[in-house]
Amino acid sequence: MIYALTDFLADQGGIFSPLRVLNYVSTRSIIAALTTLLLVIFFAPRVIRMLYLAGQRDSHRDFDEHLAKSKRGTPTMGGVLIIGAMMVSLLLWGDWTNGYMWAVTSALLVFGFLGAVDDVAKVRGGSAEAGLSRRAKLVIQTLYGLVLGALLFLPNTTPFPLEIADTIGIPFLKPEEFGGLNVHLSFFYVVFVAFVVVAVSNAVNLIDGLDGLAAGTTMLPVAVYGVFAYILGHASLSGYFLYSFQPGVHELVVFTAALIGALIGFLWFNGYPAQVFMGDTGSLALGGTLAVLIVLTKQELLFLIAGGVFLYVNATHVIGDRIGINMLGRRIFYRTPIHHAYEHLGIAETKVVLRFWIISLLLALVAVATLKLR
Amino acid sequence: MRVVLTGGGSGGHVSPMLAVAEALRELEPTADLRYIGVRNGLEADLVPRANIPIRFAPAIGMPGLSLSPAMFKFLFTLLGGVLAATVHLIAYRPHVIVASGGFASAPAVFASAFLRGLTFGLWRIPVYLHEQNAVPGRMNSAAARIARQVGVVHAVSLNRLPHAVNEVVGYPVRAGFASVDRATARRELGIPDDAEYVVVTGGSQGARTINRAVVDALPFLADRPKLWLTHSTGAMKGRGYDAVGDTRSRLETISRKPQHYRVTDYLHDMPLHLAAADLAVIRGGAGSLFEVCTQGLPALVIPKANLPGDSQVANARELAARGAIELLYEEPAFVDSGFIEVVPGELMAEKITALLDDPARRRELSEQAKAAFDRRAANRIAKRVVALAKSIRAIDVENDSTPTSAESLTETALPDSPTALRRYAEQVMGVRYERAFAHGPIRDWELEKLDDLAYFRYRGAALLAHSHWSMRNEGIKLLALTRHRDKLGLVLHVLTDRTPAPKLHRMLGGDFAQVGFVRRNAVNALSFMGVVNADVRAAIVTALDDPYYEVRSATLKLIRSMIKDGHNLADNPEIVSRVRKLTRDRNLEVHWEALHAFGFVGAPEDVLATNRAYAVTGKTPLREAVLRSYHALLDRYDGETNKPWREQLSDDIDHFAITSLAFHPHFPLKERYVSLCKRMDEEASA
Repeated sequence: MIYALTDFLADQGGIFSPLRVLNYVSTRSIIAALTTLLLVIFFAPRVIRMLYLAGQRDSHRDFDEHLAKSKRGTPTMGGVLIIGAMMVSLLLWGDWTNGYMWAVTSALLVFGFLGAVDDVAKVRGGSAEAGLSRRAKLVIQTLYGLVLGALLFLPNTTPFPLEIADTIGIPFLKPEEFGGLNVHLSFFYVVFVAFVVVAVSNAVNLIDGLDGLAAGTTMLPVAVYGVFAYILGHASLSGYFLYSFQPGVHELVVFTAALIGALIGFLWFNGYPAQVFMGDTGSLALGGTLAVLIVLTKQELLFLIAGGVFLYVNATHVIGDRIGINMLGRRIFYRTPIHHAYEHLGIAETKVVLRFWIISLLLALVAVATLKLR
Repeated sequence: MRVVLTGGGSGGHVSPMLAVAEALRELEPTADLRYIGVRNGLEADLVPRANIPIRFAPAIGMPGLSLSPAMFKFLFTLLGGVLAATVHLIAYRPHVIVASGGFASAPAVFASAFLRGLTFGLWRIPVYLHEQNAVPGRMNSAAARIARQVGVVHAVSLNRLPHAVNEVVGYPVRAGFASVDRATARRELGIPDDAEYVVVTGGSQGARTINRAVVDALPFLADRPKLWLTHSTGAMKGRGYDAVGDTRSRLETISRKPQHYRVTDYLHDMPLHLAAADLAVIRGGAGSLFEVCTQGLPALVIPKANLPGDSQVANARELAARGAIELLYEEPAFVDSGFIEVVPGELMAEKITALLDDPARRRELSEQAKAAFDRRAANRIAKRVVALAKSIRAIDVENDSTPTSAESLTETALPDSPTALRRYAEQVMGVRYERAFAHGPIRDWELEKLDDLAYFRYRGAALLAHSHWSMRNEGIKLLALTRHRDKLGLVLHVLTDRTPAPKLHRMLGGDFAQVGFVRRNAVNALSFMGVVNADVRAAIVTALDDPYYEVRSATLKLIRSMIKDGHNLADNPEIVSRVRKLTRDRNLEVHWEALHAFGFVGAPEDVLATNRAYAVTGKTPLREAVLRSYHALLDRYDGETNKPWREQLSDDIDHFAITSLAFHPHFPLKERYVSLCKRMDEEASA
């Protein structure tokens, strides 16, 4: 709203001209981040109290009893804080004529809603099993992915330049216009988008098991994709780094900045010992938005590096759970999701979280380094 | 009025339909009946004889829920069956369909739903479903969603069915069924009046447990000159069992048998034999139970274990609770090919003898059996069917339902699924299985909280013969929670069985057919059972060499808890040397458990020497285990302060690193809160 106002006023010239500074992506990003950060920090205590009084508290989960037990009753569903602050900030500072903005915000809202339904059902039912079934979640995630994929693929609705609409980005490989190669998936692109959405949103959901783990480890890939969005949406920078120019994608920088601000604000309360958990509301919304950021910046395979931590947690979970526990009737890792294995080995929760952050940071730096390694 | 009857595959599903047909004709002489069944089922033979035209629609039983070739075959057959049944229904335009469940009724029932969908709900053929088992099968649960009304035999199945209009109607029996009287039957069969006549049958297919048990029982029955015993083996051949051949070869191995023992593969004049008999030994399928019980014939029932939902056992328990039958559980035993269910021959003979020697008990069984099923069931069902056909709301039919004594039993129903059953037991007893080592042996007063202890024990033992490991796992847990010490041998066998797992599983990291979790839980079970004899010690030695780490670490915990309970394991050099070896185990969890346990069994000098290497290790849990083992050592040699190793110990402790990666969260706020709550409770109760 403020964006539209200042845009209009600056065009009138005269005394309003200095307002133009508020139209730059960089300025708006910083202001958006500060807005979400302050909003979360300011409103969190009230929201936490509200959630607590509404009975929206974490039910006991079935691993390492002494740890889980002492955390029982912590308010959950803190994701509403993140989503609320994001929406206020984006409505104020976002450019709502931009298609990218709509796409990524839709993910925030749809997945946030899905998670909220799940959280409420869990509390009503009194156990972690009472939430939405795996299948129901999967169906909704897939449907969302297919619709998004179709909108991105169809020439009338896609925000991408038409010649790269159905391509995927591969690290270390230049696009066609710079003497490299464009990988066209044609209509398989729709399925591919659905796959990315389902995989990434569940990956974040799974990692949300220790205080501050999901918020911290998601922040870094989000930042990486913010950097990419800035470069890809910049006419000369994208050429300099040999990427296909995507006009308008820089608006995602405002989004990622706002998200990082909100996550930092959330960590203020979510750090060990947590006063609030983000719940599925937060983790599914985070996962969904991260997935859409990945798709919109066309850096899908880069996530294998930037999201290496997620890959690790998920791969071990599949091996340990599907093959080990369900099929062979034995444990392959001490515990899955794998962060609980480290707890089992006697490493304090705070230390596990910190180490995951460090590794995440390391991988984020490597991911940014691929900008020049081509 | 046109009525389609459907259901079959086995006699248990066909004869109730024939009974209903009889009642329908009596009620509405103009009724036009037709039957839809499968071509190779028993109905193809029985139905035309009852003067009902029959049409065929292919159907086969549903395989497991997994995607397999059998599943595709099933789906295709079902599709073909539904189409065929649809054609029959269109051609015949019935007013109502009566289904007795089982896979053979699936085509007609689903076809009615198909027609309803096809005509957008304009053409609805109401379906009346009759459920004979206490636990409805998957097919019947699905059919119950389509059916307008469901009648059941057992009150317990009411809460297991997803439908509004369910009621107890009883099991329909044909009027002419019991017309032969005992004297006539005996004359025809050539059995003297004063003979004790026993009929043993496992159904038309036959039952391995019953066949083997009765042959094994023969020597113990040989001294009853008045005993006449007819044994129908059934015709089953395949799936690892040949009823006729197996029985014949077993008969050759026994030395003595009663004079009037007769073995046959099939009894064609079964009603005659049942009319003449004093006692029947049968399976717990709905069909055979009611065939026998409605005649008032005392029955010794051996229900088949591990069926989906344990339906035969549920049927039999329901009747046994009414005092209508004598119940005998089969239990697994280990033979060279694996676990199979058996009933010991001696036990079988004992039960038969006891019943034959106690006419009062037989009379009682006979009366209760007759009372459990009154013969008006067929008429009752027929009335509801007619009402449905005339589209009167079924509830408006005069209220003559509810056979007596049925309602009160609904309360006693235990969960069907093994996991739910185990959780129920845990809840009632206030014991968590995972806390086996902290809990120690199950105490008597805990066991007394379980009402039907015999059933829990039977179920646990029976599950050990299940093909899926997760079920065997629950079996072990049930045996342990019920402290079933008679089955200790089976638990030890599971723990030490070295039958390899399938090759694919081994490639992925599996080892034995008794998978890691099952073996680990067998170790936990030993803690609950609280027996420490030579066999248990030997099994502990084997378990310490187990390739799966959780088994080793659980065994080490077991050793500690046993020693705390006052058993001496430190005198067993094999155990001590293995624990010492495990203090160098590559698996961290085993490593720390072994260091801890070694403090309980090792000689003080050895313990100190082992522990010294870990005084400054970076792995905190190992250091913690070392400290725990020192504690254990001091406990063992309490007060003996003059030993030379004491000085060494204080020296070692001086060089001990106490940096830590870990800490346990401490919530003073929560502790205050809890203590406040406790105080309030105490004041309130005072």
